[in-house]
Amino acid sequence: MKTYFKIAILSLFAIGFTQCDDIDDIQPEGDGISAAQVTEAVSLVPSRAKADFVGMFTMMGQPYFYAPSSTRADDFGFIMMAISQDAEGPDLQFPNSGYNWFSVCGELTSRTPTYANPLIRYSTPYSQLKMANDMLRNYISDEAQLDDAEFIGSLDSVAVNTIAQSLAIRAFDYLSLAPYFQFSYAAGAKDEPCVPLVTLSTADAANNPRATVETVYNQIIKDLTWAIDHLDAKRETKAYVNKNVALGLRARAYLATEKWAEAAADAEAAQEGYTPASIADVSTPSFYDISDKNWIWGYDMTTSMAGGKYGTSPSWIGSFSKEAYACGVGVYAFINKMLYDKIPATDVRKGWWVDENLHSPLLETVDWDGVTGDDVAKLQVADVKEPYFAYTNVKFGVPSMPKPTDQNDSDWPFMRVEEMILIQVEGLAKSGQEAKARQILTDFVTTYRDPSYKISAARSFADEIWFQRRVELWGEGFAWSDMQRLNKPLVRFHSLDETNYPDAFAFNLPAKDPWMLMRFPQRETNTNFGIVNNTGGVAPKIGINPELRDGVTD
Amino acid sequence: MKFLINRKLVLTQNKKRMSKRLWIFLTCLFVSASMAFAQKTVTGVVIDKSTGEPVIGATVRVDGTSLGAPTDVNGRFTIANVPETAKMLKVTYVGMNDVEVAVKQNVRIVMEPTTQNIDEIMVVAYGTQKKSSFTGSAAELKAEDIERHISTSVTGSLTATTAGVQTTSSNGDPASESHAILVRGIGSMYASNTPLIVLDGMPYDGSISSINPQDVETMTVLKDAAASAIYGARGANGVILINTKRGRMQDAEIKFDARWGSNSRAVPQYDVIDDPAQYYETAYKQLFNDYAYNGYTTAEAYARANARLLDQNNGGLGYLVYTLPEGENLIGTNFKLNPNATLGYSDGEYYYTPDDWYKETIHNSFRQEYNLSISSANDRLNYYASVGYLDHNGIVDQSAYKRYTGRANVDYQVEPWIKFGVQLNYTHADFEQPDYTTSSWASSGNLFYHVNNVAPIYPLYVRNADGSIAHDSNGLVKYDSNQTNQKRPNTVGNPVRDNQYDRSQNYRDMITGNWSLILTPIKDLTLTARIGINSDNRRRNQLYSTFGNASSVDGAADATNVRQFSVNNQYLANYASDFGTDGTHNFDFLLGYEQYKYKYQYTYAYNTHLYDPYIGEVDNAHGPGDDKSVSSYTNNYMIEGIFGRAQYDYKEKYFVSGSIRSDASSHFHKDHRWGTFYSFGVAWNLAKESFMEDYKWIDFLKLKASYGEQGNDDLASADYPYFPYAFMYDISYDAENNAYSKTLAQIGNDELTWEKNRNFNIGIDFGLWKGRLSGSLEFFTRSTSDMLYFLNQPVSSGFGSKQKPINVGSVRNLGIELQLNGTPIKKKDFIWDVNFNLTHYKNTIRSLHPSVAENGIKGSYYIRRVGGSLYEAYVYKYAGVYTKDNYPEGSTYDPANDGRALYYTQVTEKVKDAEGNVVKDAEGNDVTKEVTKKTLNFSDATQYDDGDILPKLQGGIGMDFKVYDFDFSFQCGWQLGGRFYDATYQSLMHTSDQSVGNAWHKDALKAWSPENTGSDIPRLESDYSVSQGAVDRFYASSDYFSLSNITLGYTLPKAFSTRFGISNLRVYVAGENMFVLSARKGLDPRFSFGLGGYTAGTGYASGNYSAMRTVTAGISIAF
Repeated sequence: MKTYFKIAILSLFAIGFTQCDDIDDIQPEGDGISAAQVTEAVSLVPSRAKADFVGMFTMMGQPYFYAPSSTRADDFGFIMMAISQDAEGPDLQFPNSGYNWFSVCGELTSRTPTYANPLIRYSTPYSQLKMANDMLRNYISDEAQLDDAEFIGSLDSVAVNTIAQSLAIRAFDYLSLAPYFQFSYAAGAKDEPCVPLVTLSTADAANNPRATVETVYNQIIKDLTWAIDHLDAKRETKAYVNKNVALGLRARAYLATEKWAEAAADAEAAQEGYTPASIADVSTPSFYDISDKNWIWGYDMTTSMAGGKYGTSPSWIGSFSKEAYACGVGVYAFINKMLYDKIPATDVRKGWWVDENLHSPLLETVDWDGVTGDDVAKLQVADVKEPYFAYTNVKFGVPSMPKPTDQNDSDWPFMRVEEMILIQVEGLAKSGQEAKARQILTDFVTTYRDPSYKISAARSFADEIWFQRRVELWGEGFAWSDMQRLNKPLVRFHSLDETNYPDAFAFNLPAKDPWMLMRFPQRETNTNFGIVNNTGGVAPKIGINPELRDGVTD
Repeated sequence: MKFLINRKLVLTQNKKRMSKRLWIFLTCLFVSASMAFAQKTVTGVVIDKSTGEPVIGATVRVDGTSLGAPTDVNGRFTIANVPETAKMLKVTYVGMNDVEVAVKQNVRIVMEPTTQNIDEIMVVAYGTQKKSSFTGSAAELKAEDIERHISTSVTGSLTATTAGVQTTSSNGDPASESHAILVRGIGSMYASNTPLIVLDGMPYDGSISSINPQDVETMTVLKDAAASAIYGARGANGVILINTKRGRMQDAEIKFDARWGSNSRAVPQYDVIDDPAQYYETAYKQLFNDYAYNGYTTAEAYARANARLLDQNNGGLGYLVYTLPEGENLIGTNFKLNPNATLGYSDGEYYYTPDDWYKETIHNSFRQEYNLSISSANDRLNYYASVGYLDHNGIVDQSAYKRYTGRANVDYQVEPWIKFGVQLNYTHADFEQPDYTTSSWASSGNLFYHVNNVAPIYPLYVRNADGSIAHDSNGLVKYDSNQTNQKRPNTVGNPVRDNQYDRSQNYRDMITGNWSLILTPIKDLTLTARIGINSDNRRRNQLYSTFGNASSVDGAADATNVRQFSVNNQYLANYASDFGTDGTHNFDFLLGYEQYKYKYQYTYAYNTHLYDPYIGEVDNAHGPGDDKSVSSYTNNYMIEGIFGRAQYDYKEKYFVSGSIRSDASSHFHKDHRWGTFYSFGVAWNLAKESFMEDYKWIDFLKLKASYGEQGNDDLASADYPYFPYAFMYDISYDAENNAYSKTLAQIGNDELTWEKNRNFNIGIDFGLWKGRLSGSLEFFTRSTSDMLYFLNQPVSSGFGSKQKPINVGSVRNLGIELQLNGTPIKKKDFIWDVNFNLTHYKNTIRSLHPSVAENGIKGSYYIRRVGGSLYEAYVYKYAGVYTKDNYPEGSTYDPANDGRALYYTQVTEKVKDAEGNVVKDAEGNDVTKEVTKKTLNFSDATQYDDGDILPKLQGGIGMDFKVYDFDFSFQCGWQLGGRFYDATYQSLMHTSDQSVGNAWHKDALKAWSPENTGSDIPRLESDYSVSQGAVDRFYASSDYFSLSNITLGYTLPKAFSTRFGISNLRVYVAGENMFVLSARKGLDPRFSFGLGGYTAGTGYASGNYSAMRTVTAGISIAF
């Protein structure tokens, strides 16, 4: 009995001790990687350290970046922001149906502080801004060190380049916010509160009030100037920032702050090394490849990231995806007929949208299941493709051209040389060099878009430039900021009987209508007590203000 | 094999006595061995004292031997070969007190019915305890309470039966039927509120539906700290102890139970417009109003409404299902259907007529269940073995759950001081699930959402021009998925089609094992070592059919494998003894170490292009590399703890107990990993006091109080729940640029530590009039501090949607519980039992993080502020419709606004004196005041704190009748005084173009109109700004009354059944979840606690698998 007893007790304790595994050994295994594991990986393979820098660019168009578990079809970073900004504007729209995730933009109910669309649009630039600031913190501890030439001189070239790119990204982020939360210089709003600034000097994110429009633009220009001074044209991929990109961004900032000559100069410098897409280039659905000669900066979308996802540009603004909202349910992005009608028939860009008979010469280069030409427009494939309707866009192609894609891996342009030309034209025109401006514009359009182009006498030259921007940059996210920058009314329709807009989205708003300003999301006002939100205005109703005109679509 | 007639299955277990018996057994072992010479035959009769009738089926055993016999139909027994040395006979029968009498011939033994609650033994943490000495608060359900429920999961029987336990049934899916259980209110904001399940003494992490309810002997809910603090970690939300059955009688008892029945939808559809004409008319009226009230002429309004009605790209319905004379409109200027219109329309290629999606999809289905068990016990070996089969089908096609269970419980007394026990359970489940999740709410892929919300004008099927349903070349039915010449405005594909053609096959194997070694090396000391494992392997194969939604990729398949494995080690030392004369001082010490490890492993593969369209495996999927998707990862979790407990009582009058436990959790950083938890309880058994002797009608009266603290480490809602202390990152790789990319996935906090629950409980337990009335009344506070919480970061700080886990703030639940069990009538052939319970609690947030303490945390539909509840509504307030008697203050009445919705708004105004001048204060500033006004403009409306929505009272009432050989029982549940955000109703009262094509509630017909000016429902008009807002008018009362269970049974008289060798035969019909009466037809307030908005919380209800009603008939036989 005693032997049994001893054996039993011993075995009990033996089991007990062997089971005393160290609780400290429990680590993540693949489901995300912890900070400690990152440190370990970097020490084992030093090149892994670069992943933070790459991540700052990857997030820009990453599907479901804001809320990975929700997989919202309208959650894809700066690309989604571009589509939203244009869908709020006068020229781009989606049908009014239950499929339209951008209907809050069409209705302009995107001013509701609890809605997801405006939250994603507010959150995305600040998320990238944080990554840029974190990147800066690897090298500098406060902003003042940037002005310490001796200190900067002591850094290696990789460090300086990283700082410069991060500063340029920071500026890009503010440029993606400022036009939407306050009116512009042109509207006399430069001293009005805009958005909170977050720099390395920001002490309390929970009490960070809105900086004025001018303060925000001063920071943008300061960051970009540093970047321009320390960058050159070289970079590993066009997804990153080089001197051209920084110059282009500063040109945009100068345009917004009405520094016309500076804008023209920067825009001209930014063009170096890039040439506009030719008539032939854009006579087929295009704007999907970052390696195109006219792209200065873009998003390099990989198949593994986009593969079949609905949170992508081909799913929404494209018309050539077999795995897409737009095609699958016929919620195609289309152009406002008022603008379309103003495009001369000789302009290649007229073909970027099918006409009222569903014709576009661009479709001749498309092969959808053996169907080509205008038959592509009419093609119906159950659950895959609905027929196009009048004014459906065919501007944006897919990498599998001439065939449709089911991978949705189109790249996205953030900056094209054509935009720089138009900035240069506007800067020159408004700084007293209109003749030169007219010449450059005429040269550009006749060479690259419409050989029989003549500057329209029906509208002012300023409005002509805006018209060119609206046509050339349609869908790329400039519509709303241009309208605000020029202090123009929102004019989407003239008469309900003539518009191709859904009635619910057919309304106009006068310039400086308080409803034009975005509201800070509830999530921000709940946590940043420095914010005083925008107020005023009323959600527009069907068919209001039909008398308004904007000078372009009159 | 010879089946002896035996007594009914015994339902309670007496572990404490077992050890005493063991010693008796050991002493007798030697005695009987040495003196087994002289023998005799003993006979006698057993009589029920209360009735004078013979007791049939009582077990008579000769103490100290393995001899025994049951009583026959006349109460008589005969035991042969009784050794002369045998002294005592022991008689047991369920519901009667055990009797011991000296061995003699023709003995007449009188048994007394058990008085309830006296010295009943209950299952408690790490053992059992006399109910009288228990200082904590617990509720116990026994096998008979559980067996009566026709439920897949054992926790279903908690519904409405137990005070302080709140169940919600968010899901009727037969494959994932589960009940969210709350013990004494919501204690956590973000951490789990789920109680810890302890199966046969071991923490259980498997699926609750993998435990066959028929195998369960007792289920005990530990509610307060004294009861559950010893579980320290994870005991904070209460503990549910489930013990499975053991053998109880000498000879094998075989039990067989079979049930056949029908499942149906328990909650009806909302009262929706089901007449297509009425639906078109309503849609037309809304469109018309959009123009008529917006400055357009009546003629223009008619014209625009006609132009849009069928234009799916312009906010219209997209479908015409009426045939109209050439050039005529569907709806006339009187807003009525064109009298010349006839239902059904053909465009020459297709014929269009609406289908009743609800009737085509929702149907009754079959349920069957079979259980067989065998059990027996002798002095050394005790076993229980069972097999079960359940075939449980859903209310839609491709929804089914088949479960096979097998259990073996064996305890073996190796030596007098060594006992070995094994409990093994194997469960295999095959199931199919339709496509729905509440998070896919409003998706046109969600079968339930769509069927509940589709307008009555849309066809389900494609029809040929002649009206017949179209089939494809394979003979498959063609479901309408926008492939005809008409387009729907809001439905991608067709969820009914996908449910028919897609396949979701799930396989689950689960092994639960529990091995224990119990040593008694010296008297009163028990050492226990226990190892429990739970292995759960799941495989899901999903086929996305090329004939359905995966046609673009020519079919797709995914395979998911989840392997969960946990092992729990437990080492206990228990010393229980007494000293002083007759057990004046009784004490019991427990020391223990416990360690729990859990591993979760996930593998997933997906690809497209299925060669064989019906094989849902990835090797049948030959899609290009870009289509392939694979994933795998492992997560680990571990806790360990040491604990001790001491109990003492003086003459079973005064009881004191205390426990302490220290736990470490891998959820926390190693510097903040350990937490120490404790409890303390006292009780006073008044009935044992001499001054109570005169009150003979009091059987039992106990006052008790306890206080203690428990921990919670389960941040249930995190994306990376395993390591909340760590910053986590997502990595991706770009092959084109050969670059890894890293983005933040989770904010970590290495300061994070245990959430603590402090429970105070004071109560009285009583038994009166020999068990005719018993019950308890308890008062409790449950306070959570260091609450695990995800703090939103300023969006501008760049963390996006990511939240920082912190310990913050505190919440308190203050409550009272009453539980009563009574027997108003107790006669020989008529027994009437009543049970009643009632709970009230109030939830209050006591403190919050400094950053949000002042303003509270505001969401689109909730506000969390100090002094408020965790379930505090935050809503826009509806101020009625605009009329000449009700319009915004200070404005001019405009008849064009008649019938529009008004909302309240808070406005700050300057105070003016009688002359109209602004009043200034002493410093010369304008004096202002806040006034409440009405506004037509929703964007100016103010969101108000609208108070706690939790019910004030909830409870249950049940009755049991035994009339001759019939038994009848029912159990009802109810709650009162709360509110439920009826977002389904809100969506059925839609005003937005984005809801076009959705069903309308019939209340939409009662909207304000010039002909119906008395209505409080705003006129039909598109109002996008308000369409998703949380508005108080959509809060409905959450009061409900439900019949959760009803049973009628007939037991064949023993006198009759015993002739066939059957000890018990009962036939019955039972209904589960029979109905719920609520404030509105279709509303099921049991879906959640009621807080919600249009797109969150209760808003998910319409995308959910509706609750099922089950009606079965069964037969139960015991040999």
